Amino acid sequence: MKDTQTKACPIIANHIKVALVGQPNVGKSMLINSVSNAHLHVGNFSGVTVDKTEVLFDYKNYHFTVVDLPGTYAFTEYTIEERVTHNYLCTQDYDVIINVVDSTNLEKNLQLTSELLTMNKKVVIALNMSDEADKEGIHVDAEYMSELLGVSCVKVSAVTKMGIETLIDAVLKTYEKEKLESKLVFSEAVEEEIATIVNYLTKHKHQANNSYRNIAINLLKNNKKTYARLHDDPIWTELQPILIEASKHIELHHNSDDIKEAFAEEYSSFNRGIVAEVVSQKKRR
Amino acid sequence: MKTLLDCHKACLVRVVKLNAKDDLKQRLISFGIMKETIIEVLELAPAKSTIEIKIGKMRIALRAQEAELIEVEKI
Repeated sequence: MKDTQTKACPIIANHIKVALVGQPNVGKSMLINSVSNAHLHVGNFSGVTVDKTEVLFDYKNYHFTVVDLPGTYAFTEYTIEERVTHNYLCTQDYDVIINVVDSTNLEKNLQLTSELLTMNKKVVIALNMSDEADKEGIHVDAEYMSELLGVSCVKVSAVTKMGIETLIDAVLKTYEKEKLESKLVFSEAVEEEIATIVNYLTKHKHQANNSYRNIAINLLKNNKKTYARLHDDPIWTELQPILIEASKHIELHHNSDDIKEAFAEEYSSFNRGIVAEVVSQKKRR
Repeated sequence: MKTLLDCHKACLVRVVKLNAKDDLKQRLISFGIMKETIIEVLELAPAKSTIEIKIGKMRIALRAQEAELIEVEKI
């Protein structure tokens, strides 16, 4: 932390609120400790952070508030910690999400990432445990990954403090830039239905904060909050039959009667593709 | 029909279907257990009350009731 003089500077306006999200035991709290010299409680097992904690620090001309959230495997509310994270992300006001992932286990971690990308938020991915990955001979092409996902990915290590500054710079840059549409792509059947819904929303000039594409994805995924928002809109009566048709089509395609499961499979195959592109494993000596 | 609970130690199987409902199903999916996932059975507790499995790099312990809901085929 800088001394109190910096705090007295008239830069209160430059305030960035960052939410730290990731699966359990990927080093979210440890990362905050490295960034800000805070002393959050950490441990080498999952579930140490059970409630959200805020940490403040200054960097370049900005005030940062970083909110450390409990780890969550997916966007569900199975445990109390997951509910804390889910509620925070859906209802609170923040500028950027730092999605912390474990570089040594990227495919599993990306499952949460792909869900975050359908939210209307700016995301930066912190590829944590890079030192650990190096030791295991795992190489992640962060630049290519940024390009593929449409969000910046930065290699960091909370332990060795490698890449921390680059990460904060990336957050700054993401904060200042317009939000980019993420490049999450689905299978042909799903893309077709998304296009139908997007067309419909465009035709009726639907007013919304989120992009039409994300709204379409959330509707297809049976996202309750998106439903609630559209339910009171007059276009709902026309939209509903379209949605039912779309769901049927996707379920048929996946040979499943559960649309959430179908989407999980979609995400998972997308992630497998990403991992196959950006991760290379060297043989151990 | 074969479930994960019918597997022996060191068995390598592929998931065919999840018979779990709602929350539990979502939970299993969030751990990466879904159709086509390859599971390796690592260890079984006496009387098969608990089963330890490996998915990718992650090890998970499941209760018998949960393992029973995962339909698998041998590969």
